[in-house]
This record gives sequence, C-alpha cells and structure tokens, in this order.
Amino acid sequence: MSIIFSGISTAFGTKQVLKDINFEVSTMTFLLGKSGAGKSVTLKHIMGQIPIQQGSITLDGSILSPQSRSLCGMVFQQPALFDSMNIFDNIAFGLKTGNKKERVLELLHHVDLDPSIVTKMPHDLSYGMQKRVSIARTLAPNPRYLLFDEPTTGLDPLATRLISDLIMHVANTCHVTCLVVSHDIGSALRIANHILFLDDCRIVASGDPKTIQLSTNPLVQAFLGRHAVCSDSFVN
Amino acid sequence: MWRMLASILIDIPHFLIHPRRFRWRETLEALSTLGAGSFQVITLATAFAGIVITHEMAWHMQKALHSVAMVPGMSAQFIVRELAVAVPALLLVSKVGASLTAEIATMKITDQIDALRLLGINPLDYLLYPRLIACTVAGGALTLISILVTLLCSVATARAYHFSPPEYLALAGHFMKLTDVIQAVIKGSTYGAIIPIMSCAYGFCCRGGAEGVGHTTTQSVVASTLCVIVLDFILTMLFSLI
Ligand SMILES: Nc1ncnc2c1ncn2[C@@H]1O[C@H](COP(=O)(O)OP(=O)(O)OP(=O)(O)O)[C@@H](O)[C@H]1O
Ligand SMILES: [Mg+2]
Repeated sequence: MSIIFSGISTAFGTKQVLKDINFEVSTMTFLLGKSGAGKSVTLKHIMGQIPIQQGSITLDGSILSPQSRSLCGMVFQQPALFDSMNIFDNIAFGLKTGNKKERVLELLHHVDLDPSIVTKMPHDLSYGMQKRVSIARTLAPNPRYLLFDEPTTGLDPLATRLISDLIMHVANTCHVTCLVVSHDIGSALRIANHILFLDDCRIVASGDPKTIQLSTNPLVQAFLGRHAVCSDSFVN
Repeated sequence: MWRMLASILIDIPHFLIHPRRFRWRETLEALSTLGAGSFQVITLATAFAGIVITHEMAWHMQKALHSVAMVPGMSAQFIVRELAVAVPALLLVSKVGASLTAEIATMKITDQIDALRLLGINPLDYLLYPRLIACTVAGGALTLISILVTLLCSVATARAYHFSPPEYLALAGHFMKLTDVIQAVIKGSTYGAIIPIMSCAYGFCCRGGAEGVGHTTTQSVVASTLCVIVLDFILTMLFSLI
C-alpha cells in the first residue's frame, strides 16, 4: 500500500520545477525543501490539481485515476474551512451516507476536540482548533492516504508539536499513510520514518531520520542546524 | 478569466440535462438571501425612479409641447420597457454581484474551493448553479415587482398634473401590451443570470490576498454592469423586431 513516483518531471513554461523524481511514500514520509522547491506541486500532482507532464504516479500498484484519488485526502496549509457552515456541517460535508452525527463525534474525538464545538462557526475557533477541524474533515470520507501541505507553518513551537503529535496519532489510529510537506525538520526527525529532501528539481537526500542526520548534503546540513549530529558522536 | 467563463458556459447545458447535480437546499437558501435580501433596496430605488421620471416627462412635455396629456402613456411605457428593468438589474449587480464575487474569491484564496473539489464536490454545483437559478428567478420576480412599484409611484406623481389613477391607467393602456411586461421579465431574468456567472468566472480566478479579492470584485462588478448594458441593447433590438 503506497504511492510511487516514477520519473516525474514538471516544468511551467521554461521553468523546470521537478526533474526525474522517483520515490515511494511509506507510512510517515516527510518531504522537505526550500521555499519554491516544488513540494506543493508534488502534492498537487497526486491530487490531480496539476496534470502530470512526464513520468507516472502509481497508487497501490495502479496508475492514479479519479477513482483511486478518492482514497487520498489533503490537508491544506490554511485550515480552508467553509466559513458559511458550522463545524458539524464542515466535517459532515464530505460524508455521503451513514450516521453523520456519530461519525462527526468520532472524528472530533480523533483530533482531540470537544464535541460541544459542533455548533460553532469556524471564526469562533482558534487557528490550531481550525487546523484540527480541517484534519477531521479530511478524515471523514475515510481516506487511506493523507497529504499534508505545511501543517505546522506559522504555528508557535507548542502548537507545532501538538499538530505533529496529532498527525502521528491520526496515522496510527486511523491507519492512514501520510505524506507531509514541511519546512519543519524538528517534527520530521521526531515522527517521520522516511524523510526526503527536494532541491534543484531533484531529491537530494532520502532516508530514515538517522540517515538524514548523517547526511553531508549542504542543504540538509543547513536545515538540520541545531538538530545536526556529528557523525562520530552519532556512531558513539 | 475568459477560459473559466468559457468552461462555465460549456458546463451549463450539462447541468441542465443532469438534474442530479441540482442542490435544492442551497438553491432555496440563495433565493432567500439573494432575492428577498435585495427586495427592499430595489423597491426603494425604483419607487424614487418612478417619481423622478414622471416629473421629468411632465417638465419636458410642458416645455416642448405645452401639454402634459402624454405623460401617463410615455412614462408608463418607459417604466415597463426600460426603467423598471434596468434599475433593479444594476442594483442586483452591485449588491449581489459584489458579495458573490468577494465570497467566491475569498474561498479561492483560502483553498476552500480546492477543499470542495477534493471532497468530491464540483464547485460549480455547489457555488454557481444554486445562485444561478436563484438569481434568474429573482431577476424576473424583482423586475415584476419593480414595474408595479414604479408604476404606482408614477400614478401617484401624475396626480400633481391632474391625472386621476383611472385616467392615468386608461391613457397608459393605449401604449402598453402584455408582451411588454413579458419581455421585461425575460430581460430581468437574463440580467439576473449574468451576475453569478460573472462572479464565479472572476472569483475562481482570484489570486493574491485581500487586495486580490478587492481587485477581483471591482473587475467583476464592472464587467457585469457592462454585460447588462450591452445585453439590454441587444435584447431591446431583438424584441423590437418581434
Ligand atoms: N500552477 C502553477 N503555474 C505556474 N507555476 C507554478 C504553479 N504552481 C507552482 N508553480 C511554480 O513552481 C515552483 C514551485 O512551487 P511550489 O508551490 O511547489 O513550491 P513549494 O516548494 O511548495 O514552496 P513553499 O515552501 O513556499 O510552499 C514555484 O516557482 C512556483 O512559482
Ligand atoms: Mg508549498
């Protein structure tokens, strides 16, 4: 059960954004890179918002199609809640059948929110709470893959930790495979089991957190900053 | 924007032959907020327009013809054929068009439209068609109401020139036919339909932050106003051929 990128290349006009990208998304994969590196474009390829120009993406072994895309859910950088609807309607919006009330309460429980907020409007909630509601809404149709576009950008360190813990919790309890696009190396090292670095249109580093911490790539080193581990001490 | 507008226009026939895409709850909601919400301002504006136009007609006729005998006929005809159609249409553009564009543009820049799509909902089904139906119905209905209100005010104003209401109506009746009213309602519905189409076409293409929303809203209102005026010319020409 995975998403595999094979030879994906993307250009906008003369600007090359991705060039021969190959990787596989495992349980909790983080995709990091500088701003403008093409991380969001990668996610948009999966969700079909930007057509694939070259190469292919397979999901569970078959080429991506509108049907297989329905197995994916995406959490945007902004909460993107429908601001004319209350929290209940926001979460229940993607539900077609079944007991909506029960499912909404179950989802609120997953994202650690109080059931009493269902009647509130999005603007009555804090940013962190809106973010949780948006995760609950994305989980509603039971996706098997969850894509996050910069879930912690713009949050304070405490909220960042809460959200990344939540991603981990959701991945474990709802059994979803997560691909997280982020700048936040701290969260990546803490919860990812696979980290990819995108730079200059290519994947320049890839591996589990320990391998990444030992990488000599300058971009990875710059990202690691205080998280860097001197190879000797790591071996010791 | 033009590509978006074209794709909307191409999608409309598909919507019409696929009734499953119809969302009645949103349509009723739109009808009450867009249609009923515009009732007061349109009634007030057309009432004053009726008073002004009757006085103006009388003043000009007195000056040019030294007689006000034609006031009921001319003002009633002008009201039904043009005034009570154009005024509500332009008010709808500025009121409904601006709010719809701003709403859709904000949804666009805050990723709400992408969120809709990813939840398997066609944004046009949710955002455009309920409002398109509501504005088409409201456009026609508000035109009919405007005709009534404006004529009433004109009748009342004409008393100042010694026309009793029965006299006014009898004189006006010589100049008007039922087809005038039917054509006015068709015009009103058409102008109503333009508003959500333009709002969606512009809103879906919005970029940038608050400034982008402001810019898009202005562009959409200006374009819708121009469309209403140009279409008014085209429909008036077409109807004059009938
Ligand atoms: N639809 C598009 N049309 C044209 N160019 C685009 C489009 N989407 C993205 N780009 C360009 O592709 C490049 C990569 O964009 P992308 O949004 O993927 O960056 P990113 O890595 O997500 O950056 P950030 O961390 O700032 O979100 C940018 O230069 C952007 O201008
Ligand atoms: Mg991005």
